[in-house]
Amino acid sequence: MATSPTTSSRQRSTREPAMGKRSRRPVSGRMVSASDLAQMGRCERLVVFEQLYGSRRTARQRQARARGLVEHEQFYQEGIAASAQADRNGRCFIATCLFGEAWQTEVLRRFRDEALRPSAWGRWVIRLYYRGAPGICVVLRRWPALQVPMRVVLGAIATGLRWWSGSCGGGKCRR
Amino acid sequence: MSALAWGVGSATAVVCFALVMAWRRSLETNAARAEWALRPAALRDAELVYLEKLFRISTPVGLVAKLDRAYRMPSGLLVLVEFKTRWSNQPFLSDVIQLSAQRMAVMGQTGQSVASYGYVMVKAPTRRALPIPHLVKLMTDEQVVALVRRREDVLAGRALPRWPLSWKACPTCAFRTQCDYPHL
Repeated sequence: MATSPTTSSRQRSTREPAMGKRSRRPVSGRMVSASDLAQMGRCERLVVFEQLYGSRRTARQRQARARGLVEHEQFYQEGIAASAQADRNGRCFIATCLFGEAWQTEVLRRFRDEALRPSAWGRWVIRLYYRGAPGICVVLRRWPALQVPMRVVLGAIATGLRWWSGSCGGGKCRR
Repeated sequence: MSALAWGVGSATAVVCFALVMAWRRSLETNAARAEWALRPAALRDAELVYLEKLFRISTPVGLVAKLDRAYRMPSGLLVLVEFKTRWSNQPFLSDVIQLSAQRMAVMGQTGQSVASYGYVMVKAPTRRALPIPHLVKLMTDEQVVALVRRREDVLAGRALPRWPLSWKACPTCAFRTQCDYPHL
């Protein structure tokens, strides 16, 4: 189970807007984006004007926006570097060690976050795991033959969890 | 002679490659240090868990939100951080609304608990300025839902749009010629 935090978001999806979070086109159906909603706190009349005439910006606003995007990108890169460093220095975890960034790792990570973390006993299990996992990773690297049975076992668990979360509607049956 | 040239060339290439890798690693380390140093003090022990990640919910209202960053405290609680570049070093109501909507989307999609407070990191738009964190109290889910409903009402013409609380943004607004705000 890898703790590698940002990995799911590290590669930004091409479907997502690049940096600016306010979409130029209306969000499909009745969805509203957090940034569009935030406009309500700025000026409600502006929300109406943008609905009627589309988004309009003065030259100064366009400049400020371009500057903001550059700063935002730097903020993002710092976050990426920090999480990469944490991965290197910190806790190495078995699924990442065995599968890399594969779907098995993602399923196990989701299980950790959505099923274990909300409860006290789950957090206790996670703490216990965090304590033992780095040592296990060292052993697995030293004796690669052990990786095969471990991969089979963890792969079976991940498949089971994927089936379970699929049949429960993405873990929503928990609530 | 040609073997010697090959040897020297290969050695130079290897040294250059090693230097580039070391330079890249040092850049990464500096960026990671900067990230840690600029965190709000309360998040020093926290783990960075989400970066620029999109969350969406469809009930009780359709909401899509992209986080700048989320940190997980040792207790398991998520704390949201929003980054803003502006001259005015203070959080605005719009930042609070944005973070509150993000909080609702994260809780709705993942079921994880998210703190009722968040941080707005405000950075002046200059190269040397450092982002300054501001702690803000977030709106409740009910308040966010009410705001989404109000937005729908305003856009559908069922409610009149209110004037802004402050007219400071008006002089730079692209719609000021159409607007009949008394200060303009």
